[in-house]
Amino acid sequence: MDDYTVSVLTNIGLISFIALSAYLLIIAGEMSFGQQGFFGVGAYTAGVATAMYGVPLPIAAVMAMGAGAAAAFLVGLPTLRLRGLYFAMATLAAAEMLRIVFELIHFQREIDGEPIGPDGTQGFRGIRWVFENGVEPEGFLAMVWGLLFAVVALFLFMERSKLGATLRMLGEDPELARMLGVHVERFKLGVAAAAGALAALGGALYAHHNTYIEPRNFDIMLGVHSLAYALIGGLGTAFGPLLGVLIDIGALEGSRVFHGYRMIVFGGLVAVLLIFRPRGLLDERVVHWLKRRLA
Amino acid sequence: MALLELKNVSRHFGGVRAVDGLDLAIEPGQIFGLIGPNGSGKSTTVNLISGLFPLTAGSIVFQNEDLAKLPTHLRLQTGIARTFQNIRLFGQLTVWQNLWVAQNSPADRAKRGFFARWLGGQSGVREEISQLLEFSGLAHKQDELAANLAFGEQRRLELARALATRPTLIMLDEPAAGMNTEEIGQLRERILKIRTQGTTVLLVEHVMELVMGVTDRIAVLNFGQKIAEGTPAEIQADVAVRKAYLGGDA
Amino acid sequence: MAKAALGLILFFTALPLLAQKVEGELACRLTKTDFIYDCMIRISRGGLPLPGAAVTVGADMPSMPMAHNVKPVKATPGKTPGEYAAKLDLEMLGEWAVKLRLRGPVNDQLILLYEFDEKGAQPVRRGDRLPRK
Repeated sequence: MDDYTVSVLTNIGLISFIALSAYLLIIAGEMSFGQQGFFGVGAYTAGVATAMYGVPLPIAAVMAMGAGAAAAFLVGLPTLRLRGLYFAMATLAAAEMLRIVFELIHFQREIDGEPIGPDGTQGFRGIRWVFENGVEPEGFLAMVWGLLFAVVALFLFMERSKLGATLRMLGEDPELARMLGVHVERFKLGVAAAAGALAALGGALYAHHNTYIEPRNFDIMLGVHSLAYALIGGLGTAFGPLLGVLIDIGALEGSRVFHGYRMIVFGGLVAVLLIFRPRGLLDERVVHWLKRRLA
Repeated sequence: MALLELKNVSRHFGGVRAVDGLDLAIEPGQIFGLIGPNGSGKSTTVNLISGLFPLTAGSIVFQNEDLAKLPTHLRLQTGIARTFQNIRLFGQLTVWQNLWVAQNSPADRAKRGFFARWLGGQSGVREEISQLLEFSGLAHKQDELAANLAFGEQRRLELARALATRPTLIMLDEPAAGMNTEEIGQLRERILKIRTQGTTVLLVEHVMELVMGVTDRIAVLNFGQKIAEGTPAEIQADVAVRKAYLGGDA
Repeated sequence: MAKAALGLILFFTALPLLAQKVEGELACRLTKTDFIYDCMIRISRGGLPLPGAAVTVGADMPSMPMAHNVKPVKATPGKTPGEYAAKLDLEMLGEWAVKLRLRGPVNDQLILLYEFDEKGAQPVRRGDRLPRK
């Protein structure tokens, strides 16, 4: 594999984490425009841990997930009371607040005579754990996809369980779910925290892939894309968001057919799909049909 | 001692008094009919008991427990289940899953630990769900998405789902709406069977042949107030009831 | 004692060299074709030019780093040591995070922020600017 293929595949893997995070919330009935904020929390947390305090990346990634879950929980407490569009707006506002917090953080440490750490809008350079530990791009790619497969396997396991069925209850009719004994608020907070942790894990890996992060990496563009990937790919299975990422980055961006006009094509694709297949290509019906076919 | 007792229950929507000072008492083992013209407050009463919205005034006591203080998601555990006038199912879930997710009663919770319940497989519950599917004649459709069922099948699935919660009281909100005579006959059989299993039934219904044939006692609502209560025979003879249904001075 | 002091002084003066920070800078010119830039990259280690590295040049859009990037190209060594030449095919004007992947004498990655306009590219120094619009 040449460098470019490796880097495209790594990017597909990285962005799949945040797409899955958006997917998790959508199947539980909440459309969040703010997952990029938790992606950023993960990136900054893990970056600070490895570059400033010499924490190994695996431990830093776990710390990032903890921070992402905590941040998502705190954001969820007030915002999950809101419905639909109001929830979407509140989560977007929360993510923008997080981004502005990243712009305000100046927290550096002298390491080998160099100041290392987040420096507001100047960004955070030198997250070099991957290079210092001699991890080759192929090795990092394997790490990203290994974790991604583990996450997808968890999703598939969850969707077979009562927990997964309950998430879909929340998404389809929370009032009915409540009458069937589900503590809706508690469940949704749990889902929000899990989705935050997942986005943060992606962010932690992203920071180490790129070695440099800045607040602007975590603006609305990333959030909108992650939502779009889940909606295009389909809400019937965790493979849906991966398909969405594959279509956009793999096919559109990777092939470079549309060059600078890709965003227009992508936007059009989203619009057309939302009209004709409102729950994506791999929606519940298709997945159910496939399952019966395979069984 | 009544199983369910409504005292002076009121629910106002703005200026509309959907239910207004309603007193009801349902005895254990009864099949209790609740009838009345459209908009008389029958469904609102059922919604109040199941906790869809709070009371404006009054109290609802079920097995010595004040329901008004109980959050909606805990009411299932007291043993109250219901079906809906406009069918509500989880269309994205299969028939089997619709019954599975309803198994949330204290007995089911005690049977399996927290993790086994949420993450464990489907093996431990197959037996009971099979019985429910058998009871409602849906065994051959168990892997179908609920959204793909025919109307009558959806009604039967709703009933089976209510039973899956192991109710002490089951509230059926117009279960015969849109059914033909044969289906109504089958429904009647099912309701009687539910009662023999020891479950009390609150039946809200327009179809008189069902209500009169199956209930022990009937209350009649009009404009949110109870205008009559008695045995089916007494209700059929009641002048006020005829007036409410037919209007004028019939 | 004096020896130890001398050792310490030597150690501290040599620190920048020991750290051997790899740095890079960019000089670009827009070619006749839209958004294709001729770029000269200067790479140094510890302040000294670093020749003989295999350099791959890519670019990310800061606000959509994983989904918006240009295909990386290999840079060719220039006339002076530490200089490398590359043609960058960007999708549009504006700010790009140029990503230099270095192999050979060093295994590293540099991210350089540059604003690309109709003439060439200037380093972005956000600290001197007003907060973004």
